[in-house]
Amino acid sequence: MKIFTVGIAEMKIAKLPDKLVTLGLGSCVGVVLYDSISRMGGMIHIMLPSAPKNAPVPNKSKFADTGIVELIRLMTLSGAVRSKMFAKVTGGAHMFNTSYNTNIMNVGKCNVDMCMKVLEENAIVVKSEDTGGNCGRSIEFCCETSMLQIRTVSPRSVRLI
Amino acid sequence: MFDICNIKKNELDFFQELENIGASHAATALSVMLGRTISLRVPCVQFCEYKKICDILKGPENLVAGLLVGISDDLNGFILLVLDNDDAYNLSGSVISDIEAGAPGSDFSELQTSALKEIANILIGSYITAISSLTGLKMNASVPELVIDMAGAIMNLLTSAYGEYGDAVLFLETEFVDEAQSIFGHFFLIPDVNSYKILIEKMGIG
Repeated sequence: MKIFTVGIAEMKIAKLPDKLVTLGLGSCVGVVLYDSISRMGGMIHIMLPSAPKNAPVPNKSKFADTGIVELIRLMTLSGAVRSKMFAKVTGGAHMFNTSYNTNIMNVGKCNVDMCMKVLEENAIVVKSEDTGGNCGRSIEFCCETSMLQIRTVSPRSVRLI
Repeated sequence: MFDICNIKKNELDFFQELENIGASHAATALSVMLGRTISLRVPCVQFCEYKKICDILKGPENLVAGLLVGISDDLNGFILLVLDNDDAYNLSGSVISDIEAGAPGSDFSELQTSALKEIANILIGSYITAISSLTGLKMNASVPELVIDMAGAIMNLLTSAYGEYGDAVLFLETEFVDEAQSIFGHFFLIPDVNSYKILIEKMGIG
């Protein structure tokens, strides 16, 4: 069994029995797609809701709108069946509750909203989610059980969705 | 659009000098408050790939205390003060009496939280006053907010502030060292992209 770490603004694909991990999600969102037939999982660590319009997008994994579509494409290329995919969505916390409020402060919610919109447009069911709140999360997805483990440090907790 | 990926050498030098002045004022203010010497590690302008940003803080899962202040008026952006959780605990304990501090390893007491915010206030207040009088640009600081969480989650703020412009983050960073207690603090000034432009134009080095 191998564990693949997905860095910020990256995406990776893994197959049974491997695991996918991403650490320290704050306002970023971790989206996992899983095809239960090929037992292939894909994970993306999204930073921002949408790519700038009318400009080239060198790194699609950074944005929810371009990233999720690209992950679906890559998984399909590797043999996953799109119609069998479901999603698990986590992250998008509101880390700082400051009175100084700008768009940057609300980026967590915008990220989650955009992920949900893109998943719906691509007819992928969101099986479970753990989003919002005000704490950071580390996640680990197991391609064998299709369970997503979420760890927080403040307060200390571990749960499975 | 000001391109942070193609920042010039003289612009970097200018930001470096700005950070030097702001940080040394802040260190002096904190030294006076604590009654002991606070020294600076070389202040620097970092142009850091966002993949590597958490390495500065010992990895994305390291438990840290982040104190955030918003900057507005002529210049806009954030100042973020980040300490290791244990260092934040010791630092806050050193400005209040032992009786009022909780046992080591326990959660921060209300008084400790407030002490930390006050330290942030003093550091950041003297920092922006120095930069304001140097540049003639006005800056207002918001009330500090304290968050204790994973370094990665806290540093998301920097990455999302610059994410749209490229694959790197530009910030001014200084390490504060309280040698008596071996406390390290990282101090980040994160102007928004437009404020970088304003600073460069104002100083006539564009």
